[in-house]
Amino acid sequence: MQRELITARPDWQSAVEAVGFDFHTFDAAPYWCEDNFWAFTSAEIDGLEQVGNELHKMCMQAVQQVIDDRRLALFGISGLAEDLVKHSWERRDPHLYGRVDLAYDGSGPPKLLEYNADTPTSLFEAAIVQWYWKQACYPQMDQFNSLEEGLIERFRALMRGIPSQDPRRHLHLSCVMPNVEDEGNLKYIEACAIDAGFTTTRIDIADIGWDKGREKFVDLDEKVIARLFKLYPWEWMVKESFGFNIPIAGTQFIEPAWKMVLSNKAILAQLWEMFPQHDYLLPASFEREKIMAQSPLGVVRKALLGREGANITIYDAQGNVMESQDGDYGAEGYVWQARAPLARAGARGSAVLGVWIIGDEARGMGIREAEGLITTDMCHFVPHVFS
Amino acid sequence: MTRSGRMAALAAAVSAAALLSACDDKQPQRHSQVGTPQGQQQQVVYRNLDACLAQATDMTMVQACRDGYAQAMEKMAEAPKYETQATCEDVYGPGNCVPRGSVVHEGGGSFIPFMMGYMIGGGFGRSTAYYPVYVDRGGTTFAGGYGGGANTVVSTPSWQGGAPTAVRSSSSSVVRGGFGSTAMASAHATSGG
Repeated sequence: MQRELITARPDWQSAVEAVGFDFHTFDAAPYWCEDNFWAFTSAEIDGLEQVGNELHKMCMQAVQQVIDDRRLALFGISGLAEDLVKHSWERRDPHLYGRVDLAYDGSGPPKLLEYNADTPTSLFEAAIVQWYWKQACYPQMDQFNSLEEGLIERFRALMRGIPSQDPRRHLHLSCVMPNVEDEGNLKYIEACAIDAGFTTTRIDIADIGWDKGREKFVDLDEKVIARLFKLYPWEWMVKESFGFNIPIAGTQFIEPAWKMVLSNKAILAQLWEMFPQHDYLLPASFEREKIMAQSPLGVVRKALLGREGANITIYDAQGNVMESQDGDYGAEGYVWQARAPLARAGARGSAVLGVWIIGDEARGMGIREAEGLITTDMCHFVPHVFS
Repeated sequence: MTRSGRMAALAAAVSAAALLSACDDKQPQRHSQVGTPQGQQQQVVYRNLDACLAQATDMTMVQACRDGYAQAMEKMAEAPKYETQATCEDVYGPGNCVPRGSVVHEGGGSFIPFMMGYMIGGGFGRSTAYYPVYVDRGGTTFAGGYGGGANTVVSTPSWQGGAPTAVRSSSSSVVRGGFGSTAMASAHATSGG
């Protein structure tokens, strides 16, 4: 695993725009960075694929265990959210995708930092933008990327057995609008759904209607929303005013409500308890003291519901704060995780590897680099190849 | 194989194209069309038997109205069928679906759109045929069985006896804005991760 410095294509902006990427730059700073890339060996990629598959499998077992052991309260999941998690899991409501974030620098096994299982983004960058970059710059190399085939296969599976007139053959897709990044991800997922045979409608999350007469969620044409792909966190939906309509609406949500268990950082403590000393896990607990002895590099405190690096504090082995991000989260509680060495990203800082799980299979990877140790929404996406 | 990029090239190109056109209107093009966009030839649709009779000037036309109405009713056997009233009303609007058994004498247990009117295909000639007409909640008018089986969009219907009221405006039972408040209140509007 090697970080290579190169010269970006002189026309890189128009090159990435040509494949539909219109959020390559934020506040004048490039988000898409092709002045460096990561080169892996085939064996390393095999390993990362296997790690992604195994971690996802462990996570699915953990959801079952958390429900069986009545531990949802530890995740801050109660009331309506608890009902939605349990019922969606009992029904085995289908899931589409998630991103397993890994600390890996090529030495020793990759370690799970967290599972972005509910509202992962940077899918379009990983599936399309870096692929076209590779085709243009390193056509002889390979890339860990069969994301598009995976997404289309998954959507085809969601269509199977559904009769032709059934409203479930229509997919509504929603996120906060306007938001160029979220909408970019949404449109890509929509394109894959269309490829698999769905008809689709995109709708601003705030435009979703509730028809009191029919007791259904409806779109702006008052068409019933039978299936909704939502790039909007479950824990937000359940506390908003339409939350209590979810159990009666009969809408199938993608991702399903049970993903609330996996996107919650309490899952890190749950996994460490279920699979202690597992190669791909970092020591994690609700109590700092329990992992101190196994954390030679210090510990990281993460808000259970924190997003995009918010409310994360990193402590060194002496207990001094090394780096901290504030934010709107933390009232729901914290989990402690041993600090892992991240791949060094030259002068830029550090890199985190995101292995994409489509359905139940690892199908691709995206790498984000950040100044410092915490990957926030100000990070940079950099491409990769392997040979 | 699972991480091979070879297949991705083709599929990505396909989807990139789909993505670029993703903002376009995505009404499925599964229907043929009658009537011209330029409106040179409006398609006469009678709201009911009385609307047809009111325009009849002789006994031949009176008979044509009666036969046509009966023919259109018969063709309702070919109307799109829905398992439940709710799924049918999703397409045609509240109150615009009826049990199939109430119109068609065989079968039953499913729902079909209400016949909003009927239409003459081919004018008052010898080989006159009549078709039932129904309207979806978006206001699109269809002629059942026109041109051989499929539902045909009537792009410029000329309603005799008054056009049916649009469903779209009757939104009194729909409330909006029940999702999205957390994002509005948050400093960071983005909800990804």
